[in-house]
Amino acid sequence: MAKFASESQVDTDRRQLTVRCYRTMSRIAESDQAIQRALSAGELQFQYYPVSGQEAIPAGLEPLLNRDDYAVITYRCMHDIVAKGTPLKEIMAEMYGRASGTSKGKGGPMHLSDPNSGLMVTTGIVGGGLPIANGLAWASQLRRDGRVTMVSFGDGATSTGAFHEALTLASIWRLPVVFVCQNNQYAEYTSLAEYTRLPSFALKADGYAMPGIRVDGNDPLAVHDAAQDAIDRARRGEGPTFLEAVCYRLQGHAFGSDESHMDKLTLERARAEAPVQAFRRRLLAEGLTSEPELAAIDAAARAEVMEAIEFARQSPLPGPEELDSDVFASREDLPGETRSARTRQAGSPSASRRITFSAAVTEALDIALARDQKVVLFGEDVADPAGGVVKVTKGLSAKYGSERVRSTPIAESAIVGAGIGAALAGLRPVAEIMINDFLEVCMDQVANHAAKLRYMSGGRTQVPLTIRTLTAGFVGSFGAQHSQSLEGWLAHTPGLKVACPSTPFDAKGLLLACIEDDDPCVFFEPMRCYFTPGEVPEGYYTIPLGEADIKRPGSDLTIVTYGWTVAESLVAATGLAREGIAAEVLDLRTIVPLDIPALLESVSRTGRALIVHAAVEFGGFGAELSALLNERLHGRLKAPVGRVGARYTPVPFSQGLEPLHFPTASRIETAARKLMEGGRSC
Amino acid sequence: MLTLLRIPKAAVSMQEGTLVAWLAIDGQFVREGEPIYTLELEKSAMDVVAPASGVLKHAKPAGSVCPVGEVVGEIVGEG
Repeated sequence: MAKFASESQVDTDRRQLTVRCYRTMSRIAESDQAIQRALSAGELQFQYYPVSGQEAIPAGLEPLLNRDDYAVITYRCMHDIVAKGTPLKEIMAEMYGRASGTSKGKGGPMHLSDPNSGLMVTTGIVGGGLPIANGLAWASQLRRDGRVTMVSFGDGATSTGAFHEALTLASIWRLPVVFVCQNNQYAEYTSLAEYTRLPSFALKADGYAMPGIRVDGNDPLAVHDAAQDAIDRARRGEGPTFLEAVCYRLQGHAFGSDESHMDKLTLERARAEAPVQAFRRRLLAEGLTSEPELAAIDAAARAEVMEAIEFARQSPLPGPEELDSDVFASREDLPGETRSARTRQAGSPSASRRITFSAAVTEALDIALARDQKVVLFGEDVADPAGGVVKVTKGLSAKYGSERVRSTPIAESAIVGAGIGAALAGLRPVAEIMINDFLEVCMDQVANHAAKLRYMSGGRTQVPLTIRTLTAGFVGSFGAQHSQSLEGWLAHTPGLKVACPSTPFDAKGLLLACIEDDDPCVFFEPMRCYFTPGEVPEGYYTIPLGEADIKRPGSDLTIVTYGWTVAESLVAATGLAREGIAAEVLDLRTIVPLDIPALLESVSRTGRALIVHAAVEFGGFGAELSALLNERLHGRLKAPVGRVGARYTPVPFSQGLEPLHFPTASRIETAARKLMEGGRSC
Repeated sequence: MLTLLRIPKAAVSMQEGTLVAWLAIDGQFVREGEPIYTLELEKSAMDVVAPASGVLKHAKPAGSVCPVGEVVGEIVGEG
């Protein structure tokens, strides 16, 4: 008898699962169609990526994912969002760009997120979500909270570098991730046959020593059963799985797109077997449900969607005050003159002693790791015995364990993405990108994701990530691809904070401030200063971001600078003093936030400004400073604002040339002298 | 319930389109999802489907060149 009872229980469970899958598919289809109706009627006007043909995939996953399991998805997203449990009203309001949307209308249809339902990121960048999923999963692994991260992407994403980097890291770290490739047979307008010779993407999983499963993505139960194994495996700590769900996109790439790139006959056949209707017919044929039950599900879904659309229509647009909120945690950090004077949050630093810049960085990391369990440190070679290429992290993995101080593959997008994900999950990750020139290979993660997620989520998520990176200019021997100063690129991307310390004291205090900050910070460590000693207090202290420091007072001109050119400027100032010229050296210390009040105060006092940075002068951050000074102080300046930056060439290797490229003390001195003579600086 | 029919934005670069032909006549009852007019874009054409069920009313004749967002008709539904 017991046996019969349990069999009947199995049947009941299967029936309930089946109906549950159908309900999800119905809600997805109604939502997808409602938006397309509004687009058809011309009521909405945006690029929409229909999900018809892909409804079964998230429907099969839905019963397996808990509300607090993380999801990272891609812009063809309506099905994934609905299935993850985001309220339809908030989804529709976001699609309509309304204040009541998931992201207050600031993310839009390609950038929804809803942390309440575990939906952490929807990315508009193909492949961009995979590295971030790793970070969320890493946080779960560290916390042993049993959560799984599901990342969903199209077949096109398998061609990207981010895909390769993410699977590489997930594999070696055995992260609890399920990579769900929704193979809809087209990468935008290009068919599978045109861009891959692989018969199945699941084969790729072999290359990462993880299970690769190919499943019929038109059948929610097949997806469910395959995903069950993958999710169980992840929860057991056995690592990631690659799941390829094969379906067929039943429309063109976007709403209104022509379908000439799709084979007519195949499309017709696929439409005849559209997964929602096919599953509906199957349920009836197998006697698992009745037509009235299904009709009731469809009617309820339709009513819910219509109510959500009406809610969206009635909701107000976001007000103008929303424009510049959620760029940073605080509006005070936006470029502007409203920054309030901040007090230095000194701990109780005890005795000061002379240590190098490099030792000050190590000390800051050591203190951060000791003070806060949420701090994790990772990057290429950072763990012992290497302890970093310049030994800055030496001893830290031995002291804090290899879970919190971790070396990574040479995969910068995977590194930054993991940092973003871990930060989204509430950790305080410190990622190392060895040399800042390597930021160029992971700029998508830095600029499209870390910088923008707070804003795109309407302030519902944040990325308290610190990226430490070396600038290795003017130390000789590194040449064009290891010597640049790219801070200006980052400053040009709203949402990133940029610290450029010049002394051991500033390095320690600013790095601790960056790690504690709720926004993504990029912390530049100039190798030219690395072994220069300076006074540094023992123990904990921070220096607020956005507070410039007068490194040498003067009354005749202000040399505005940051990073390693502070030292060059101080040498120049000493030379100028011998001629009776009193140059003030103003060290900005951070360029975002920018201490505009200190800048204006100093330059209005001296009447002359010479801007100095190691970055290329043409189009550099100095141009912004110069424009700002001219706009604010025109008429009060005794001479035009001058600039000395690197010459417009890649950084040369030869010692016959490198000193000609960079702003040396003698170039600064010459420019300052010209400025004092009332002429142009160069 | 009244549903206005505006020229949809059917491509990123689309500024205007031509209402080439009405596929349902003025005063006809149309069902949601049925094609109601053909819209010609620069390089392609699409059949725009009824966003609602009801009686179709034409506001622009076939052959009209209309900017995105222009009202070309309406559907008067029940209720």
